[in-house]
Amino acid sequence: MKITFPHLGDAYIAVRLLCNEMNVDCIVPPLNTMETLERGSRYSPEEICLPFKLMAGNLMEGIENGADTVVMVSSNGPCRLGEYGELLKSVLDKNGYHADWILLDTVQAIGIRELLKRAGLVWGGKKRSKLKLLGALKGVYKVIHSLERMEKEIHFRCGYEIERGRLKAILYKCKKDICHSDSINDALKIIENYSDKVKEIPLDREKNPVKVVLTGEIFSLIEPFGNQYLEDKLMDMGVSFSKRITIGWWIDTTFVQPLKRARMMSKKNGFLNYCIGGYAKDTVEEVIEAKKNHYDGVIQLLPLGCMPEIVVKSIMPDMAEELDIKILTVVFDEMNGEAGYITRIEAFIDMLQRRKQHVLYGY
Amino acid sequence: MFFFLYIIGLVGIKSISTVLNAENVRIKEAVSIKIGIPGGLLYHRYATFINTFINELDIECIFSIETNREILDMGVNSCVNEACLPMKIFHGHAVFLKNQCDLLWIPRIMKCKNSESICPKFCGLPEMVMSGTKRKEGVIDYPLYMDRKREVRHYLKKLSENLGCNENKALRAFKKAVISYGQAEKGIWDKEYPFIIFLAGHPYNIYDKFANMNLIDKLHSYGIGVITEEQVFDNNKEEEIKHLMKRPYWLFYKNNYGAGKYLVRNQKINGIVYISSFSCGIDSITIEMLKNDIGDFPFLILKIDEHTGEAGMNTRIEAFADMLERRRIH
Repeated sequence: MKITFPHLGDAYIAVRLLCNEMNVDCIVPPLNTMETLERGSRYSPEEICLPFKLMAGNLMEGIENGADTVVMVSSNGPCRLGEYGELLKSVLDKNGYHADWILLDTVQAIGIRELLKRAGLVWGGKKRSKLKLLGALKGVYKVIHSLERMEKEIHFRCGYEIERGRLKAILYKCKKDICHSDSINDALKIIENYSDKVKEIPLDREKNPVKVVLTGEIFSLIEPFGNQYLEDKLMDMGVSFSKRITIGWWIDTTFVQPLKRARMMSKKNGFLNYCIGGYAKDTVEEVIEAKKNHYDGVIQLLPLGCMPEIVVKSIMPDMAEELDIKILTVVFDEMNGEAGYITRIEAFIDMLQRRKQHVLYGY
Repeated sequence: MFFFLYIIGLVGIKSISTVLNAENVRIKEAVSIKIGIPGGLLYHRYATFINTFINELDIECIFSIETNREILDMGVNSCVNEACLPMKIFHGHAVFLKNQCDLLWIPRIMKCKNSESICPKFCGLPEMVMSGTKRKEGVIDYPLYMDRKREVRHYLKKLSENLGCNENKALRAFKKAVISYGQAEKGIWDKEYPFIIFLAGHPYNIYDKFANMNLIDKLHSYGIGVITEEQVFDNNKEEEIKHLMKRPYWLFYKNNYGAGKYLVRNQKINGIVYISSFSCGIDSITIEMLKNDIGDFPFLILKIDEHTGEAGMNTRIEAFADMLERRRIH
């Protein structure tokens, strides 16, 4: 049995390490490119959101490379993600990409026993040591978190860099090296090495760069192709930014501390008091947090037609007015005319820069 | 003696105070609150229910008019531009009522009968309307979980507090409304036409004559009768969705997919017409699933948005009618 899975940012690094450790055959589909998107959108319904099209492309490539089982996560919210598995199966079957499906649903939908049974199917019926599995899971968790910690550090330091582009180069080199490493321990060592290198890069502490929060729909934030490599562009512009919603955050809120999230969801924040599915409420809270932490602006990302984020977008003008923070909403779809996005983001950053320097006109 | 006087005094004070209180209460009730009910979205389906409920409560109420060009324009101007047509129409109705009522009733439907949901936009509807119409006060916006009895009672309690009427009265009115909704005729099933098609879609697209440009009458004029999903029993729908990997959690996905497959399998219809609003998240999945599962069967998808070009729609309906005719001959 060979498993494959759709891409979600850097998740493939962790999944590959986990599968290596547990001796599971796993085929990582090629990274998202324009070709993936074209293949995916050829067979997908017209009005589905962008993540679906990319995932369909990934799975087609994965199955072509010899995989016979697809592992997907699912949700139970009113957002479309929960129905992805069903529709992907239907679309792929229709076009001749047959595979077995393992749908890892939420505990609320199918119960913990069924979830564990399904997760057990991933091992292909062979008996494996549970201790080893727990160790591997812990290791992978550590890898994800330390990689993200480094990434966050880089995102923050970008604005203070003297020689622009060095931090970005380090990040890419680190990810490349992890992809070639064989075991979790190797990966951890690599990350540690590169983290030290990050600290050695000279910074100009006198600078006062624009600080921005990236928020919005979870897939667009995590998958670089889904947001047209927005993070790279911000790094090139010398903007210091932060992004709370990452894979590590998702794992924490979904599996490690579900109660904490439930408590957070029941809190009222004055703008959107109820959990309406997807990560809409988190987006609203991000904006409030951004104001508290003295950020200059917020960029909200969403794929076209994302239902929960549309609600948030309609509240955004109110929030911008009441909190006195600038918000830019960028909508992504499969038409990737890059120039349009770059112009808007550059204009937004310029506006924030001017606001910072107390220019009294023009914003 | 003094003791008696004391008692009489006490009783007197008490009676006076009760009389005063009663007057207070009467004054409270006399201040009638005018409630505004926008005629968009699910109002089309639950009109009987809402009318009975309001009648029984005996409160002053103002309904918006039927959707027209003006309402649509108001909605488009006040709504976020990524939203779908029914949302924009609902915003239009809300703007229409904005200055005419004390309380604007915007249902926030979180969960339906069997804990299905409708769409995230329904859960965030009050926020969307409040920010779009700039009316922040006097909006009934508490969540409605219809899968739990306690939550419904809680909703009624809050509602009666806001409307200034008795809680038991609200409960009685609710029960009567449920009964009258149960007795009312739901859905359409035309039997006197040579062809019959399954008209699928959300109720607010099917029954809003302005939004769908009088689709049902147009179909009738080509000799095509209509059956809607309300006419298919729930257990038949349940039967059809059993083979799915995951139980659908959207009410209208379940209804349209289940009913469509049931009608096709039992050969009760000649074709399916799916009326869907542009960028509807639920329909994007329902249509594809239905299309993949019914195989070779006449299936027409009509997309509607705020651009009301009628000619394109007429041509497509005509072509569909011709196709049904040819299928019968050959």
